[in-house]
Amino acid sequence: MPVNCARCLAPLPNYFFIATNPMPCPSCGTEMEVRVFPALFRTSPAPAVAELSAAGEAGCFFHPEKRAVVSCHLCGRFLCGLCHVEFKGQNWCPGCLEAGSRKQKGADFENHRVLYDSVALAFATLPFLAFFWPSLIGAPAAIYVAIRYWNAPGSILPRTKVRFVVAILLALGQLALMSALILAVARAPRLT
Amino acid sequence: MTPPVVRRYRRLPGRAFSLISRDSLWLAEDHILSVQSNHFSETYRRYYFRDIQAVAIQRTAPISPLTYVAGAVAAAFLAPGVLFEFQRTFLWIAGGLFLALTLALIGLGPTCACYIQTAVSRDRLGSLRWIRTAERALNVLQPSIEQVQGPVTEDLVALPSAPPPLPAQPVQPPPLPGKKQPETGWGYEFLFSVFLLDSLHSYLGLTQKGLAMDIAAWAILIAEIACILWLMVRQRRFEVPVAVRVVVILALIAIAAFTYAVNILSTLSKQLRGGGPGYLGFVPLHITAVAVYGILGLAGLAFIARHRQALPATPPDASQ
Repeated sequence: MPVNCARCLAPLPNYFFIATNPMPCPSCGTEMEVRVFPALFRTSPAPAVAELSAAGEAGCFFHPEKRAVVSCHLCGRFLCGLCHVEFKGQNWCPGCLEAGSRKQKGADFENHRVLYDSVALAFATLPFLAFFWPSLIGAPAAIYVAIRYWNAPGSILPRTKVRFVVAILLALGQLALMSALILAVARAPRLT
Repeated sequence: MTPPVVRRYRRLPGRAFSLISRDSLWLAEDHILSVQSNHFSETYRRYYFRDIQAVAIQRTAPISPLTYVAGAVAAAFLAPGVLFEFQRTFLWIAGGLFLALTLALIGLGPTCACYIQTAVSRDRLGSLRWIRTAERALNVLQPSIEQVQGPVTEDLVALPSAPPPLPAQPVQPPPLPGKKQPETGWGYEFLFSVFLLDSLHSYLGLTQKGLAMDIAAWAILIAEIACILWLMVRQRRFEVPVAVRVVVILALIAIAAFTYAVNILSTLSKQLRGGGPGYLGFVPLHITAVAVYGILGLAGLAFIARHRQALPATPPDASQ
């Protein structure tokens, strides 16, 4: 895969790769700075080949006629050259890899996470800021989300639980304020 | 089973922040993590050091387009502050803030689009939007990648960067199915001209009143709404730059907001003062409308002009 100009997609000549300053694309003139790494010049490895197993040799769990070359580090099934997937220095069978991805075991499989602390904080602030009274629903929702998902995995990036704490405090404050208002209205002397 | 590995990510320079999204880039032991967030969830994309082939920085503009917007808003606040006595303190403070923002944006320097390439993908790194930030991030990244892959030597670069193309192999990727036709932009030009007209009308409305002004206001409003609706339907068939789409949506929001504000304020004024020539907040609202419609009109026309300039640029010939 050559390195292409970002604008016109024309392949950039090799002198871009050793240039220290931005240079104009020969096709469209867009100034580009390119830093390349040896992976660009690496030839792709030949596709995995699975050899037929001879008599007495261990066969692949999924393809018994193929010779097993490794075993899955998780379930121990024997795998041929076609079936084994190397990931993070370990050999995986397709089933364990898929299960790990589906159950999101380990941060390396995950590509999406919900930020429940932000959701709780939004419940605690937005209804109150918008029209005040919707926080009758928003505040309990914020408390529910904060408690329900307190231990749920949050962002895989460094992040504290301060949003949960703020959301709970704000929600409790709103509920207290609204209770006081309702009590004040109920106890107010009637005109008639 | 081994317990999940606790990763320590370190933030790389650069982040893009908007009302609905947030992009950032993080460095781990063996990969870069690109994070796209909508404030309530995060989507991750990993680029392992051993797979990264190249990082390309494309210079896009000498200064950010936001600089023009911030400068125009600063001028819109400062000019009436200089000319009129009305609410001078507010206008000076608001204008000063936007002027500071303009200077800060100028100080950030030229903008860029940064792309990361692997053997199977080529993705834009949304968090790197300024040349200076991108270079700072790359200066952190490069040693980590070279630690895994080794440095690029000149004899390595002298090798052909790609296998010789097959006779039938096109350089350009095949067009996506159902690709839209490019938009010529005349409808948008009309809409953005109407915005400029609306800006002028709002400016004249500060001093001029009467039936003619009311009729003109309604005519402009109807023309704007009809044109926006028509263009939004047209966007389904024609390729329109994202910036133009954003301006159209912002315009729709601005129209709704101003109509709502005028109605609320005039009703409030009638209740408080029993009617009268103007309404509460009449002058600030009109000045804001002049600025907003003017900026939207000018920005839209600039984006359409840039889009038109890009239209004739045909993809390079494969033989070149």
